[in-house]
Amino acid sequence: MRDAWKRLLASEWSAIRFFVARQRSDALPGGRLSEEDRDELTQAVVERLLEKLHFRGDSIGELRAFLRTAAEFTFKDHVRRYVAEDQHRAGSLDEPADGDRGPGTTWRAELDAAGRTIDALEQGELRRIYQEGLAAVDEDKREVVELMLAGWSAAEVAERVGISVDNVYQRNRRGLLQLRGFLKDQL
Amino acid sequence: MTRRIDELYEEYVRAWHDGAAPDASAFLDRAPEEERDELADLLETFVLAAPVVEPTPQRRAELEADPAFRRAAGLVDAVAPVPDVPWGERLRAARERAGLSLGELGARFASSFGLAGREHRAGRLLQQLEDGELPAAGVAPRASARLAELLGTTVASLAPPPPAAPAPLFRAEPDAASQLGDLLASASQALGDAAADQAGERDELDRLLRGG
Repeated sequence: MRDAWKRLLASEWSAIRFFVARQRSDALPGGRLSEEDRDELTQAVVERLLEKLHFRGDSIGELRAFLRTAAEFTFKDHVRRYVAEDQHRAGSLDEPADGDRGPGTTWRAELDAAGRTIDALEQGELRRIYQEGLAAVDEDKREVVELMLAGWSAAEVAERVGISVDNVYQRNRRGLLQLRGFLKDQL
Repeated sequence: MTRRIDELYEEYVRAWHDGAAPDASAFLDRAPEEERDELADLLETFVLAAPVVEPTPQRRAELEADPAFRRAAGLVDAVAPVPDVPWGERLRAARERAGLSLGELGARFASSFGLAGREHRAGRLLQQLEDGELPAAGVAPRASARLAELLGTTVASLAPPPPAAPAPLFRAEPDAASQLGDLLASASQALGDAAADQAGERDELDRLLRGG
């Protein structure tokens, strides 16, 4: 089982790193995490994942949704701590953000709630949502988005669909944003 | 609108499918700053539904050398159940990590099931389980789940093993003597159990920890 988890960790490493890397907040210098903080948050997300060994979701989509949520809440805690420490450094008399709540207090409740939402998803539910999402993408963009999601190069898609590479990029970007908008409402 | 992030998106997706386990930070850093968030949105839409692709052997070797990955893999070692470690030792390790004595764990365990007055006996049974004197297969799933909760560890890490089929006992086996000893101990235990039954001492604790 340990080896199975390490294989899963290796295959999901990019996803975990992505969900952490994409976090940003104006409260942080430059808006983004330092490399060191990214590493720390990655460890925290892996810990959250391991705490959910009894995770009942059984589709990879549910797992990714969980990882994204874990990264978001872990990041929120990080920002909260940073702001509190910053106020402390500046000698502010204001209460630190979230008063005397210790780090990690809030994400537990939030993540538990998210976990229940994920658990509530039936098997294949996320896949169905994606299929519906793709169906909601304009017809002239749908094939391009699907092929690019499947790893086709823009040149290959251009040849198959009979449009220019620039046009492929344009349709793909617009189609993905449509799909994203649909998913945002659903997840 | 620049084409740069379209190319980065394409490169990332293809690298993912090729098992190259692409590093998102590097891709985001390569995007023009004003378009970084848009690239992140595009990539997230892909990553949420992307297929599971095992890293290539070369990429796996790179990951193994990455300190961040090694730390994370270390967490798996610390948390995930290790099948070749006897259950009793896993219980002892989890208890020691939680900083609880057997007496304290026994008290909390008994109390959590509303078994007032049975705290001491619970501690003794847990000690027997840790020492391998009682078979872990007798631990009820709800008991192992409660122990995991009390010790702040995962349910899976303390899941009891399934009951093993009895091994045949042959006189010629080198460890027959010790097996016979085990058998006698079990018989003696069974006699004790029968006496306890007669005395009305078998209780919820037996059902929880001894499969009674």
